Amino acid sequence: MKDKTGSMISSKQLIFVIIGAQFGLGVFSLPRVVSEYAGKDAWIAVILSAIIPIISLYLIERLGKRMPDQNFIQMTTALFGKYIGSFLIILFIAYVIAFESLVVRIYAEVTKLYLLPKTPLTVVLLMYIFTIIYIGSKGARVLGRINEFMFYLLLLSFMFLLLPLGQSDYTNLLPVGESGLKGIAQGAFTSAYYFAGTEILLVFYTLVNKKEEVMKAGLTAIGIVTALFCAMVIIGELVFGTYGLQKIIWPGLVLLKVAQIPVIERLEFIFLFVWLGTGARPTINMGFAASLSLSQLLRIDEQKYHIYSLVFVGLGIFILALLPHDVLAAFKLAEYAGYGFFVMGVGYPLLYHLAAFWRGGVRMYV
Amino acid sequence: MKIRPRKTPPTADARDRSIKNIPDTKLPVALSEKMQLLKPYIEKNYDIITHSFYLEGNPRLEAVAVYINQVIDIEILNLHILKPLMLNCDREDLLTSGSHTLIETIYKTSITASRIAKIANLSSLVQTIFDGITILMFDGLDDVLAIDIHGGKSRNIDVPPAEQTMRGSREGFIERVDVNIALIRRRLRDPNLVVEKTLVGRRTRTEVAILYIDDIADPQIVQKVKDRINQMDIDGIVASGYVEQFIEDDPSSLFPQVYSSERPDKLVPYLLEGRVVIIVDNTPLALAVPALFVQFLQAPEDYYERTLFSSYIRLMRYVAWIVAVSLPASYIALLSYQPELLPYDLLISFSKARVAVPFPVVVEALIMEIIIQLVIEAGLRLPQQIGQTVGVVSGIILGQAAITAKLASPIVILIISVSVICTYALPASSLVLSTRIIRLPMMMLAASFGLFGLSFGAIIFLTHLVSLESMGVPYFSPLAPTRFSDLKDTFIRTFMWKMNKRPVSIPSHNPQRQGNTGEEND
Amino acid sequence: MFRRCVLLILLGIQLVMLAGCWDYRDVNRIDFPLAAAYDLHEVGLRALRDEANQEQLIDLAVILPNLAQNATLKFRIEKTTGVTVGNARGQKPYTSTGTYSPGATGIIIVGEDLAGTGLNNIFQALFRGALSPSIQNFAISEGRGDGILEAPVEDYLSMADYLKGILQKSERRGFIPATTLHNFEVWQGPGKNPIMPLIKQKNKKAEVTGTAIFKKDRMIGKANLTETRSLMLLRGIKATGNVAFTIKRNGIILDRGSVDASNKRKVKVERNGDDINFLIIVMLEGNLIEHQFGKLFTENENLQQMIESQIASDVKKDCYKFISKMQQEYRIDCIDISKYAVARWGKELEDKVDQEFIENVNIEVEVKMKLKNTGELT
Repeated sequence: MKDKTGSMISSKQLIFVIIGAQFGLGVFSLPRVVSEYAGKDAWIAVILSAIIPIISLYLIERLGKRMPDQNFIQMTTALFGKYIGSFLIILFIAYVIAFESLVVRIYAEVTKLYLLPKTPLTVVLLMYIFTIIYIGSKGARVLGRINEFMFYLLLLSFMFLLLPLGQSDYTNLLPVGESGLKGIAQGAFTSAYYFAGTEILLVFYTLVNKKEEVMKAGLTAIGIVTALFCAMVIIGELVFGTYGLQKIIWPGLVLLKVAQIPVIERLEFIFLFVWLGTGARPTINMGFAASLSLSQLLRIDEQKYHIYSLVFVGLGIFILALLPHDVLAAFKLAEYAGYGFFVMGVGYPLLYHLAAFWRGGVRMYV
Repeated sequence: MKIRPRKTPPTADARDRSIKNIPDTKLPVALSEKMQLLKPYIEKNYDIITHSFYLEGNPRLEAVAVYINQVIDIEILNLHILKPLMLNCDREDLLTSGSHTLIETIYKTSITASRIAKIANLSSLVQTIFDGITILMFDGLDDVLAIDIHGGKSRNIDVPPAEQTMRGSREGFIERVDVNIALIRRRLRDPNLVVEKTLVGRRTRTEVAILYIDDIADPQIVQKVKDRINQMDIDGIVASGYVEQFIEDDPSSLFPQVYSSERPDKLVPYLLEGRVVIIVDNTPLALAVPALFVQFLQAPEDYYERTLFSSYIRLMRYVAWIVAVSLPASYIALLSYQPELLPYDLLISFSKARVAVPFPVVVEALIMEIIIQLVIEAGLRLPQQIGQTVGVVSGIILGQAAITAKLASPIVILIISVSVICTYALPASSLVLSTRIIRLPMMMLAASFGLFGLSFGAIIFLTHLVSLESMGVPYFSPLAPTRFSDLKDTFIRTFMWKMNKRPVSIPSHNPQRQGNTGEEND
Repeated sequence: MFRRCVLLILLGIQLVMLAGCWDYRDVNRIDFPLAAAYDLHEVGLRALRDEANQEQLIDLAVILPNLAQNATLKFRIEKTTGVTVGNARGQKPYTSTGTYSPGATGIIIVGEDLAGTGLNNIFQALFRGALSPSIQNFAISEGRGDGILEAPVEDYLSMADYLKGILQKSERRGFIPATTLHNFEVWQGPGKNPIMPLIKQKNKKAEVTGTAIFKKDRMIGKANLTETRSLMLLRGIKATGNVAFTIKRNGIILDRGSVDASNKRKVKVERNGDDINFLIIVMLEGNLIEHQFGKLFTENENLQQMIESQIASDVKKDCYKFISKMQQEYRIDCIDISKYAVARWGKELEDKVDQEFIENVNIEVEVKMKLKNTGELT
């Protein structure tokens, strides 16, 4: 790295970057999606699904440890050669753009539904993209700090979700283990999509100043996200029951409509107010990762011209986000994007390990 | 990171550049020749006084004193320099033993003139005269004496008008840099307190003192401050605000990145925390860097009053800041985009109040906001008595008239007044200014996108705050990056005896502040 | 510098977009309904629609506050008719100036006839609209709903205020169930059925007359006030209300009085092959308000116990009466106990719990009464 101070983040900030990349608007639809398969045992499915990001984390961390001085781009070209390597990286960037465009689209749909029903989609999207570019342009260190601050803000706003617990019914969670292994496994598989964002470590590994703490930071991040997901699913189940959850697109948001507290009549608006920050984080982080890879791939000066690759990524996200016909189509596509996470989060590191094995032999593993 | 590009590379002292059109000739021995050389530089100036006199002896030695009227202490000159020289000095000794004896003599015979230097060339002679230093020239001696007897009239040490406290010292800085340094020295008798002076401004040649505690302050920050001050290539500065604008990290930011205060008792704790204090001559405001955002919401009373009360007040200030920035914007957003969010009865009373107002909520709020800003501005410039009248007139009559004229609803006047009051509840005047500005874009965003716009504005400002740095120190710490150990002195102020470590947000190389354990030793 | 320029250009694009203000609504041009009433269309009521003879039309009546300072009436009632709820709202522009904002409504009254046809399909608009909260209070009116809104009120700002006072958090004031939109939705899960308070216009005033019993979203019966009390005790809705007692021994009235009691319940379920036995333990706790004839507590140590057991047995009797009515007349589980069986035996019961389940189970009731406080007198 050229600018050691400007773009390094601490391992503590890595926790928040990973959390930020994983924890987005998805948490609101998670209870519905998981309980569709796992029913009352959705929370078990969510806990089980954390295995996949942990595998991903482990693979990437091993990979990084093997080539600690090389960033994602250098590593790829070293292992696969210039042409295949470039292809793999472009595929990664394309995946991020495609995936995040869906996140952005769903986010814009929620904004339109709750806050600005008549405002054109393009305007909401542009404001969103502007936020991404603006934050991205400040560099990795600021990104780390923003993520850190947002995380505490998020925890604070998550407290609101505890309010509807007064309406809960514990029988909604019983009996445990009813959906059987198949249901839970299916639920866990679906819920694993929501951990997409772990692959950001591919890019961020070189930016962390204490490499030996990466594993710990990653595990902490995944642990926190799993706990928050789990809490969300359990609260959703308690208040709505499996039956009620299936009827609502974003049970997480409707939860807030249920709570009755004086003075502030409508909690969901307050929550959405904080949400632009917290909900935009996955796109901000992933968009930054993609644009950083792009500028590294093109070998342009990261300090000076990073903004151009950011704008490029932002525009890509913007255009792709306009494509889905409506929010349900976006959800459908998001399912495919979920497979993308498996490819990028697990498939890529595996592929790299194989290539390294083939190139360097067993020696490198010692 | 964004660091303002500095066009001029760091060069040697600014002093060298400023006097380059005066020839560097060596001064001649004869007094008349000296005067001849000096004449073109001082003859046009009425306020430069040349005072010829004779030293005792046979024949008497002719000498000339050159000084600027009212800049030096004429009493000292007459009593302690001229009088002894004229009466007690032996000419023969002077000529034989040279200027050395002369200095000895003045040292021994005068009490106050303690700083004496010899000058040998013309350029520095001219400069010294204009620096306000008394010059003594003797016939037959090539050395010229420069005696620093600054004096003249200046303001007495007074209560700082803009930052008054209930408890704590009543002393505020004045315009004299020496006095200001002394005010700090008196409070901080540490031998490690370093006071460095440089001159800034090619023509004004203003004295700038840099203060820091050697074994606490981070040398990198000290060096950075010195570099940035030395890089200032300007013909003149008249206030510390000039220096502030030259050394801050992001000049186009809305937020102040240099802390300024007129209270010495505010700056001493900052020195102890490892900050660098900059005192500029002719300004009663000293600067402290690196500054943190939270620092602008803290007042010295926080440390003078008892913990619980000051924590409460400090929390209120955070509330005040948030209200000041976002209350009018929230009102606009809620009323014109998300009225359903308000409690029903409140909503009905709001909308009943503005039935008669023909404008949209934004226009109504903007009219009031602009009027109030102008009232504040008008009150500032007027003499105190009239200023108060303007305040009262605008407060009562204008508000009432606006309601009657159906320009604004009572609610909007309430909202704007509350936000203005909250603005002035902030302890630092530089944050007050930025708060007054931030309110406007927030209102515009709220008017265009409702709560979403507010959220958008908040995140943009947050990003900006987080990305700011003051002397390379993250401006928004200890909030982001979060330093948990500093949070005990951020929103609240814990017990004095619990703050054993210096804040981590300000780099320092001596983290231990005090040794109290909070346990009683019996 | 160039970086900043790009940012500025982007900002400029944003600013151009700013000019839209697409969602701006003047708060004075929005109608915020205080309360709404939905009814089946009554022939002869003014129908704005030309195709007024559709198979089913819905009447919507709303109370709107009058904002103008010199308006003589504080509120007005607007009525429209449409094929559905949303459609009825959609007819507003023809008769009313403001934009209708359904989100503000706090009280929704549904006519008896409409409730009998099933509410889920009709109330899609309430569930679907992102702007409407889930905490609107529901009530069923005996007779037409709009009649209740039109009832004259002098001592309240409007009927809506009165209804709000009577319906919101009503279980804290008496044995009156409070049902919100959220409750109505969630109580349609497997083994659950909603209930709603029943109100009626009587003597030019609206008053609570009991409970409407629902089978899923369709109203199938009514319970009077005594039954409502048993229903709430059995259903375990935590409420506080007055319970009277009369102690008789051999035909002689020994004592009479009342207690303010709060309730809790516990449900135990056992299974013996296909027989399922429920045991509902109703726990009452209360303060004695009065007792008229009895001796002082200090003199008669049994008195407290007598009162407690009297109330327990009275309540128990009522509960059994209600259970038998439920099992024979309503034939649905309106006391919310099937869920415990489902929670125990899961999928096996879940599918059949809504079909002839409650009729064939055995329900035992146990009532425990405890007087916590007997007041200032001895």
